[in-house]
Amino acid sequence: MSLKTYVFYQKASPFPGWIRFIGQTDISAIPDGSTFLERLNALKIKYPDSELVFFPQGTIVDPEAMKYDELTSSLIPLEPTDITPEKQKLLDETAKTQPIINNMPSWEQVETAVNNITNLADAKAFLLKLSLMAYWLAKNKAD
Amino acid sequence: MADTKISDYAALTVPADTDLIVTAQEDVSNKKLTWANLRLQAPWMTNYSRSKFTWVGTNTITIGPGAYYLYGKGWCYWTSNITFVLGSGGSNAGSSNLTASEWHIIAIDYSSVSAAGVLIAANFINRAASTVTPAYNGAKGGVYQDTDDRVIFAVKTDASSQVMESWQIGDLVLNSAVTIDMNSLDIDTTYTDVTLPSLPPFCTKGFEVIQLNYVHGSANTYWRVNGSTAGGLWVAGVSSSATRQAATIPVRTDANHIIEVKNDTANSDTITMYGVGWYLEEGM
Repeated sequence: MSLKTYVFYQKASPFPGWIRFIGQTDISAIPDGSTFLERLNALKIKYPDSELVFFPQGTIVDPEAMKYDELTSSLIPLEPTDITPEKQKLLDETAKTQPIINNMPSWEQVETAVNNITNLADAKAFLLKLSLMAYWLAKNKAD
Repeated sequence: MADTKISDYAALTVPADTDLIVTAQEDVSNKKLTWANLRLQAPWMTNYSRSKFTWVGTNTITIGPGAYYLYGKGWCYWTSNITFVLGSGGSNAGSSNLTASEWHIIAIDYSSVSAAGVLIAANFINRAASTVTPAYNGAKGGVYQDTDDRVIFAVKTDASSQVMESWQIGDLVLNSAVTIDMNSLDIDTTYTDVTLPSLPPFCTKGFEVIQLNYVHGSANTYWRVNGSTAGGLWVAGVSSSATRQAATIPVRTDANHIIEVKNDTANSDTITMYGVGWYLEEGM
């Protein structure tokens, strides 16, 4: 058995060298239609513009901090402009929730507003704000 | 030795292979059976009584009371905890020094055992997996390495060459840290070999977490022993409303630690597998 660390990367999108899959495999396995290496090669066809490289067993690879550099044939740190899909998900989530967070009053403000209700108009205004917040939370997005 | 009726034994005695058992009080010749034949016919009765193995520290384990039949010597046993220190500077100078991230196989050291009987710490040996080929031997009735050393346990070292903690539950040994046997790989409808580096060399039974992750589209995951032509066993399923499912199951591998996994749908869903334990082989 000859275990190697494999790095399966994309050449262009979302950025050159983005690591899609990592792991270990036995590169000496005799092809029989089901070996791991055959699966990795099939994935090169399934995901266009991708490539497969090997490193010694035990090489530490972190796709959220590293990318593969074809010029030097090595793993290098991500640039600030290299946004992995995982990081993009977090950014999208933040973009969705930040307006809600920004518009959310403190509990002290909520308590004061409720205590200050003295007539139907005030109550209606408060209920509207409350409904808007419930609507945003249900939609998971501010209008 | 003359024929001996079981009722003649006043105390527990270690018989010789050629001693005769008489199955009735009368000495009837066709009811005689040698201990050797009994051992061959019923190895599960006479082959071993497994010890309890306990992690003590970075180079030490405790081998609880037990008894193993050592081929060529006879019954070897001990009746109290034995503290075994690994490495050539430990309990046995013939042991391998601890190496980084490697299995070390614990065995009864044939060359150190003068005869059947009570063993001490110096009668055990640890050998780095890279230096031995432990394998089940049907004729000897157990897992053996270095020709005649009977394998009884194994420990894994970490990157600092220290024995990692593990917890034994009968024939199951749980690791104190998981090993990633497969890391989020897109598997489709063709069975794919997955090697389980989390298993010790002699082992063909693993305890695995198999996790299916929804990326795009519903799917179900199946597994089977490498080389099998069976349809396989369902282990997990995901959909847009249940995007991750993990199951912890015992798996049987081939001799090269390989199982096969597949999904029933070709999409981008991925499978991750964690090795969390291993099973002592038959005869251990």
